[in-house]
Amino acid sequence: MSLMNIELILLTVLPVLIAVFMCFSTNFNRHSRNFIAVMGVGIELALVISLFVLNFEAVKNSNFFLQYTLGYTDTPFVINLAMDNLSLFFSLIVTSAIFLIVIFSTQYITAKENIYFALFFLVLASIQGSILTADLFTLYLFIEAITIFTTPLISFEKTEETTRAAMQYLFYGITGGVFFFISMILIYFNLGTLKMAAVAESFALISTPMQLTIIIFFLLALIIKLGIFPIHFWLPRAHSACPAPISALLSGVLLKVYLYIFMRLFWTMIAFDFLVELHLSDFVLNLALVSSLIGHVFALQADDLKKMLAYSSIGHIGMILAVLLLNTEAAFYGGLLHITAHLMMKSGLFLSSGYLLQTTLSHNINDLRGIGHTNRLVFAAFIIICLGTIGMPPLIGFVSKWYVLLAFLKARHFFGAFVAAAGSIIALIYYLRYISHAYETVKEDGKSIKEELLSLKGFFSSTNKMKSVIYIFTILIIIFGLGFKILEMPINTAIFELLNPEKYIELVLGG
Amino acid sequence: MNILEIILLIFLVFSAVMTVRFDEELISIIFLSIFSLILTALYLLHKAADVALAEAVIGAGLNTAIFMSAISQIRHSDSD
Amino acid sequence: MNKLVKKTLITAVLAAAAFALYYNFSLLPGYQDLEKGISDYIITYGLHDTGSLNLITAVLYDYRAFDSLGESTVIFGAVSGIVLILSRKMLPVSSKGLSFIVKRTLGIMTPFIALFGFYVITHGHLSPGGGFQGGVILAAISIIFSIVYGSAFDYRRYSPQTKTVLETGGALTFLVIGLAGIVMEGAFLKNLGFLTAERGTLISAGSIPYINIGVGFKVGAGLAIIFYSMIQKTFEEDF
Repeated sequence: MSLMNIELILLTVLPVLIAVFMCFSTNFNRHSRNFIAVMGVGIELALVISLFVLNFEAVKNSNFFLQYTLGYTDTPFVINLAMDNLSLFFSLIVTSAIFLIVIFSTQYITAKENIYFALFFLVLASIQGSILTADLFTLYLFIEAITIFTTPLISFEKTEETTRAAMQYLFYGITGGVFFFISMILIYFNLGTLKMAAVAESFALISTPMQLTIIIFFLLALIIKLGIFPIHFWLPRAHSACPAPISALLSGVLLKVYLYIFMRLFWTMIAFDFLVELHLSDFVLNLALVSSLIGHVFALQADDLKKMLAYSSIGHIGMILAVLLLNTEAAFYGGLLHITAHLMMKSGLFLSSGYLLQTTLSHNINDLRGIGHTNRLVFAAFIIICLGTIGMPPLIGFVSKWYVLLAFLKARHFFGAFVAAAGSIIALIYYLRYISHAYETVKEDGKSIKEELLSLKGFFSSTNKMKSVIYIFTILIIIFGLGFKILEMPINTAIFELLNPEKYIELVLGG
Repeated sequence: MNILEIILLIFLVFSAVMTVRFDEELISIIFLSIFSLILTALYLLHKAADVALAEAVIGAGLNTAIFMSAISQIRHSDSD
Repeated sequence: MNKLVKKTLITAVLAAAAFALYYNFSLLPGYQDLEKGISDYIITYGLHDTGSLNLITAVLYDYRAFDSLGESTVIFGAVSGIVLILSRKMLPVSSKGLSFIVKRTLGIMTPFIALFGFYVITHGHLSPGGGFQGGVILAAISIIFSIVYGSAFDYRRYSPQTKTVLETGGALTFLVIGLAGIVMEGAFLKNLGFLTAERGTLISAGSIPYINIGVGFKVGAGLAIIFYSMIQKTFEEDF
């Protein structure tokens, strides 16, 4: 009985167990079910943090590597789970965000919680699986699983609009999956293996037209999944139709997972040189920048708060993808920092929009009138996060955007620098539009802001759980904005993995 | 590639085209299940018995039933 | 845009895509040139490693059992999602079913279909078939009941609660065998050695038959639930 690196398999299997258990929990009362949900995701977070803390020295020297082999070790088609610094970094930020989102949704979701949490934990399991796996087929499986599990969550409130959005999401998700599958099949028929490390070793042996096809289909799949310009229209609909925690999950977390998969595929598995050689990297870079600009411009005309946030997501994701494709160390630093920042900001914004919905009729801009007066503290938090997204100095959004801008300027890519700056200015306009509407009609009622601040007695009680999650996101944004150097060590080690994929390949194949 | 396989392949393409061509859903579904049956035969011809069994059971059996029930749902709500 | 122009355009694009794909597949190395490592390995060592005569089952439920676990989890999630979307909180009211002749005929046939389903599930490691295929055959019985005898018959015999219990039970079997693999063999989902018996007998091949049974019940119950939640409204109106 060996318990070597058993955490890796537990990270994937534990949420599945909880999901199966949740299906049984129709007769449970609310409290015990919520307790189980929070406990489950808490254990998950504790596992990831313990991996980080226990191997702190190894992470610091960037030679951290864990591997778990399923089944027979000496067969040529064994499934591996592997964790290096890059996966550890992503696993850490994603699990922390999901922990907060689960706490929020214990309070937010009031009907059919058992199926909601079952599907949520299945999504969590597939996210962890796709971050950890070192096998191409298992990766494909988990990507498809994410699409299939999130579709019913999008149409959770069965109206015509949500159903249409969910159908569109499913259609484009599956189409992207099919493109991924075609590439995978082509790789298997050419090399006879699906282990990412083994593919990386012998990818150069494939003939050039075949390489081109494989890379194009992978790019198509990920462009669809990430919502880059030509195929972006499903994203705002899907991300605005679902309940607020699911919006936060889709926009804040899942897009980052797809970015991780992008990095894993194009830096570790297929060396980035192939993209440059085939002149694809420049093309995709410019496409992502155009997509970023278009996302920001479309956000200007969106009259729905969540739709505006979703369009702004398109803008940010396009910028991150573009900066990563510059393929320099400064670019990776800016990109990974902005991934962290966007994860926190977008989750916080969507969650606070969900909280605000409870006091308004809809997310339409006209219904948001006067909301700044009725929910002062939450709306103040909303404004702070908005300022972070725009890039105001003490917040993390400023720091990350600064490094992105620096990376573009260092690489002499002035169009990119222009888009990064223009995005901020356009974002300022569309956020101000909503904020000014929110303070439009002055309504006097009851509590002043001071009273609300002083009533901390219920801060962690059930009534305020949603608020406290939003405050936690706000405080995190301020803290990391002031002390972004905390993130420097994990990000630098993650960059080390991107710059030296040989380490990952050698260690996976070696044992 | 023997003659039987060629005939089956031709019928495969024919039934696939017919599935798309017809506006009447019922006929499309029936052609889809014929498509599955021909595919089953092809799998058997290539000695993939497991896949053939799965295709026969899922493609020709279950898919048809689920599609039929979906069609009947659509027709009922149309007549409302 | 003119309809004809549109049609021609779509056809042209599809034809171009088909040609591109064909060109690429024609570049593939021939079947013989494929690195023969994997198929050779399975044929040589598969039976020795797993004790399963059906090598496809050996790959599905032993070498790459983790993928199968993922696939059955996908079915589990899909069932939950469809129940979430399609549940209408309506008491199922049944049609009267088909004519007497059909009812009699299928009354005679159904036990044999069930027997075949169980045979496919339990003999997954000996002959073609396995959990997925057998489970679908079992789900077909539920569908036949719904159509031929009316949905209330099926509801009374095997209520949705029973099916949910069967489904989650199947999923738990798979997971528990996987976790037992950690405790007893040192790796998740590794074949449990103490269950191995003489090759070719019914209870051989370690944990493969048990995983097959779990998957079979899970798939059967899950697909029956899907069909059932789709058919509810239809038969209510037929009544």
